[in-house]
Amino acid sequence: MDLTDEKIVEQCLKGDREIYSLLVDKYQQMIYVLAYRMLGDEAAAKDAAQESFISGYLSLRSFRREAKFSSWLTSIALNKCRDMLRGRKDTVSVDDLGDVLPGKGADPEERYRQKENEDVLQEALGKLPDEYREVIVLKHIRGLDYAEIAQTAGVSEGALKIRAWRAREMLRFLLKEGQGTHV
Amino acid sequence: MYKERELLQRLLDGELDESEREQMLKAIEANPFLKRDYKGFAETIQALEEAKHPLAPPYFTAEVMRKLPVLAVPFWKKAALFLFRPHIFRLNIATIAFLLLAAVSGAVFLMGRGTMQTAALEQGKANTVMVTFRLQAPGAQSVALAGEFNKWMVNETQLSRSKSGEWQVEVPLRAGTYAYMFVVDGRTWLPDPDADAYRDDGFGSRNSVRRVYHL
Repeated sequence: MDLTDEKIVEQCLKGDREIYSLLVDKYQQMIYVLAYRMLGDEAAAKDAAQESFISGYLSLRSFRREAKFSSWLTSIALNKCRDMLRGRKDTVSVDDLGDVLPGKGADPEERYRQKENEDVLQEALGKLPDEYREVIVLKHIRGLDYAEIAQTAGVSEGALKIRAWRAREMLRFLLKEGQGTHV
Repeated sequence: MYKERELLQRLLDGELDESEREQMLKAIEANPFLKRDYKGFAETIQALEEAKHPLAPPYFTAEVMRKLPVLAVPFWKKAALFLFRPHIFRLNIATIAFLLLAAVSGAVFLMGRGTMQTAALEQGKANTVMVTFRLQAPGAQSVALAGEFNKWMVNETQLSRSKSGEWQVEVPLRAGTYAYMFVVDGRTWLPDPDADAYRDDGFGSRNSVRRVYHL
């Protein structure tokens, strides 16, 4: 008999600690990828993902059964990533967009040769402001629609769309730069 | 131009209705710059949605479960969970044989104990003698027997009346000496005229005494 997420949560709340491993098995890849794309580092992503599951377990009593468990867990993971990003100083804020706009930087072909073995996509994502990266990862990697992202990220749909459009503009340029082709 | 770029983004998000979509696609075909932008955004989204992602590290689940705290659960919940959750027990033949032997031995012991208790009861009965108590009281409505053998309880031992007005009861007693009295109609205490002896009761009256011997 297949157990639904809600049934597993119910059993956990009754004291069956081991059954929680079914939820960890099911969603570890989803949460790990989210964390990796947000943080850009595998070790940090592993920590954030594990802490997300532990926080989720400790907060099971606050899980509302009418919501999807995967969305609820995604929200927890997103908050973990935000906490870790706040401690970093090497992200580009919205005020520093000039550093990533056309007209600056070294010769594209030179940079491509230097970075040909790196994850061009992840590098480009890493250069986005955190709030832009969030909506791009949730929409195009996690596969949520704007309504779900609004609920998960706690941002209005209107603001999310503006961020998504601007993020695509930036990402398009950064990917082209990373691949060594001109805009 | 800004309006066109906004429509382009909405097209990419699938938010245009059928007629808006058709108009936008026509505009894209007609405008090479818009066409370039549309292609660029579509390729960007394709790169994101088709990207290969790293796999979660091995033993991820085991590490999470190891780090999970143990939440306090009431004992009764733990007991209910244990009792009503299916369990799988793996036993070897020797263990099964031992458990069966223990179960059979336990059953035999309990049955034997029950037999012994019954025998003790029977033996207890065998050590008693049926002693008859009689009182001639044709006018009485009820006659009871109260004595040392029933803790002087008035309603414990009732005598039965015969047609001649004689009241009688048989009581199993072990060998010994017993003081007793008849209680007529629930209030009149009378000594037994046929008692073996009499004993002063300390209240100004005399108790009847019956001596019982083993045969």
